[in-house]
Amino acid sequence: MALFVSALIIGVFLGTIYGLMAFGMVASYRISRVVNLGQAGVAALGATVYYWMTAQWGAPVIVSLFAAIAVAALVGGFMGWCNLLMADWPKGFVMIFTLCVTLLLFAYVDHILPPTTIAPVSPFGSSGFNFALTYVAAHQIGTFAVTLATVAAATALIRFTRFGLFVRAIYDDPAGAATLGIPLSIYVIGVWAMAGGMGGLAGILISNRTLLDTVLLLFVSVYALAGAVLGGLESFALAFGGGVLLGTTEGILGGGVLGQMPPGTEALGTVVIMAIAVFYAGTKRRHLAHLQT
Amino acid sequence: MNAPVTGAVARGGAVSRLVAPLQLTKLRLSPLAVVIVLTIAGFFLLPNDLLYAGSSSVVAGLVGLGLFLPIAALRELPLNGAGMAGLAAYLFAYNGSQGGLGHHLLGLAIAIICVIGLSLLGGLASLAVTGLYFVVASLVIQVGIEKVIFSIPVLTGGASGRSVYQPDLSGWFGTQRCIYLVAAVIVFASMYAIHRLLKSRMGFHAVLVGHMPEGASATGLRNWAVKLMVFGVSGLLIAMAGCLSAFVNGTPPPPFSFGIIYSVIFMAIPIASGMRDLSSILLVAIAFVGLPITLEHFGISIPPNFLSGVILLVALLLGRHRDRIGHLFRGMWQRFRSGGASDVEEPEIELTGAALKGNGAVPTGSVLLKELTTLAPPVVTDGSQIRAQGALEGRQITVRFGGVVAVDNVSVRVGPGERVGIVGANGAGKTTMFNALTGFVPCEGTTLLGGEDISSWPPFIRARAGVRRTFQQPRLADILTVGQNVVCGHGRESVERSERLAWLLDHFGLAAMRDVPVVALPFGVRREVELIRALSVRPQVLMLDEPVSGLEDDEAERLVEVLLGLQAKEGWGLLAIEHDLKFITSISQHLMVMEDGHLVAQGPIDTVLQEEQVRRVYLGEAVTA
Repeated sequence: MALFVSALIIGVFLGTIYGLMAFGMVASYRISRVVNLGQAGVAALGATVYYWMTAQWGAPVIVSLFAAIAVAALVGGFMGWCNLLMADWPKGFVMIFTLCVTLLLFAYVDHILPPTTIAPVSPFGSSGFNFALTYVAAHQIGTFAVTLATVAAATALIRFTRFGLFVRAIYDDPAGAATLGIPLSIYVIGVWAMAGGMGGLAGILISNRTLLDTVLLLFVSVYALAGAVLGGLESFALAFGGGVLLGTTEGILGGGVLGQMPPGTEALGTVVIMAIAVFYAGTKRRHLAHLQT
Repeated sequence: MNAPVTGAVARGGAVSRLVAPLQLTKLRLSPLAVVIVLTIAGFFLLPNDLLYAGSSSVVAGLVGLGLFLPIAALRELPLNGAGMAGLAAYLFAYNGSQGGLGHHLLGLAIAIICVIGLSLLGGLASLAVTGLYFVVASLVIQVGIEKVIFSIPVLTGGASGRSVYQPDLSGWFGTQRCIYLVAAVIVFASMYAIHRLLKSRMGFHAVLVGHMPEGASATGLRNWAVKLMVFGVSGLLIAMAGCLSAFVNGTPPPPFSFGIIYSVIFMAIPIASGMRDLSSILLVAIAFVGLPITLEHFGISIPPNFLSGVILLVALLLGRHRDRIGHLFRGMWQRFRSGGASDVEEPEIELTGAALKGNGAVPTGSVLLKELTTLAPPVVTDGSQIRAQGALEGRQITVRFGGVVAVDNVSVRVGPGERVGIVGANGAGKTTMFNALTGFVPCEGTTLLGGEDISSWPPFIRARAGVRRTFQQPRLADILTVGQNVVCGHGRESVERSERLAWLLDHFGLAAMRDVPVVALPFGVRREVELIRALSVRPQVLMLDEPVSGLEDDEAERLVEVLLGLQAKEGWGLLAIEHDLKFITSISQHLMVMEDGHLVAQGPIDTVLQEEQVRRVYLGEAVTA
């Protein structure tokens, strides 16, 4: 039981971070129809800036946290601006461009970080408590709370504010929104910046537990993408839910709940769930497209 | 029959030159020459310790070639190239490390079979999910390979890896030079084979399936089989590349060399090459793989992620603005040659239907009718085992889209030699009726062909049985030429088929445009190309969806003449939807009028057009009491 609870907590922790990144991917996809593979690079940069400010400069955690998110948002906004410049490019090309950004950011991060792998300090301290014979870290609880709060705030921003109204108008019909006088460029850059900020926050939160490793962050972004696809890259709720589902599955299968498993098999369950998610979302999408036709 | 279109030949030739760079399969001289020169120069000039860079480059190029096929033909982006190459490398090395030629060949066979199987799995995924969903599905396959298969130390050989046979040679023709030669020969042979494949009918079929699946089904192609064929060939090339990478290294590279990042880089190789010719793929591969190894050799250490990112970015920009950059360089070269004189500008050619077709050069009216009655095209059937003769009949057809009834209990019959027109306002359900009869949408009711129930047949089987159709928006592969588009379709190539196509192209005035990519053609001409494709084999029933929309009056008249003449000769049934009253009255014997999914009137055309309800629905005239 304790093993299961422990695996579940780890899984939910990972899942909320996947969900947070997936949320940002859906936001940028809906406004530009581009899959934002730059989230991995932005996450790495955010985590690095946070680590650098806390560990090297000794800056307060909260200041470092917001500064790192701001830098990540800035890079996200830059990608949004580049997207505007590449408006007439095939979306596949733009997606590869976002990958270029990730590679360049990875190169920068690998260049400035020490050769040994490091873990930034948790913004929520290093304390913890026992629950059902399982040690729960403050970082896990804090991550869960912050992630939910961020997603809730972003949802409220999009659903209940004037900014969100304009963003939704662009989601539905960019050309129509432009004819209403909505400045597309500002909103596109704004949404990409928001996505970048979320990616940066995800990077900071996860690197405390999984170490600041660029390859690992790339996998995180792939899992987030799979979660986002579960909602057809259109639904924020399903994207977040998909991320949580994948993380929880990964946590449970990788947590030894099912006993000693042959090498590789613990990842098999996650892969199968990802495959089912893609298949489900893809076929549902085709069915909807057929009905629309 | 070619004589009347001489003028069009000249114009068509000029147009061909103008749009030649758009052709998918054209092996352009310059990149090919550069690649050949570089490869030969590398073989003779590179020192032994740099030949590894060359070998690795051509191997990466082979992966790029493998990925090029699904990207170019099917428009699917597979992100699992590195994983599949890695799997092949490990399987090859696992067997090969046991020593002996037999084990190496066994390893090669197992690697190829497994990777083709995995690639076919991707192909199966592409049958269910397409576009972005396919990208993610392929990513899932990559993650599966990486996290599951590469976690098995027995397969990967752990940290020490497994050794693969390399020839033990010394002197100028040393081990590395021999490996370079083997790798280059295999890659160039593969490139030639792909080039031939893309220029074959099979290649055209693949492009049509990828770009216009409905159009492919309407010509009788089994789309899923074509897709799987493409993925199978792609898997074969990637497997060969994987095995070669183990051979080039002497041991398979570590698993991270086959990780997600490399998958994306491999996928980016064909995209960054501009997707126009195969030789450019090798050039980009050299930049991606050969350059970093060479720089490292000279002590210039650049972080691999940085180099990959920059090369990817540059290649992306070059690929995107290739024409502009090429034009710039050509202009500079011309200025240099002419000593600073002004640019030599290519004449602009107006791409209108009349201009393309050599307006007036094609015989019309009674002259053409006379020709038709004295000369008919060779009759070609599609060679299918399925033979249905007689009428196409839809009985009580009902089509529902969710809660919307698009076609409500409508029956239609087109017998051999009969001509039936369907008219109605937009949204009346005419095209949906067509889609139901041809199997493109599920429906209630029964569809019969020659008395046989074909309701459960998929579209491609109906097409093979002789139910041929055109679409409102022509379903042609834009990147293929007219000639390539019209030869697409089920059935063997034969002299009769070629002669029939030549006859049709002549009579529609398109003979001079065989080599013009469809993308350069006006809408009306595309319609005619699609019609020719539908007629490339003798149909049982020909179904035309707004065939004269976008055509000039004289072109529409010629279309009527050709259709009527051909139908009189071959005796197939004709079912047409059209808004153009002149066309529909000239081509139909029997008229059906639809409104809001219902059939409101039908009968001989003169009678139906007199009915008040028809005038209200179709002609918009006020009905008086």
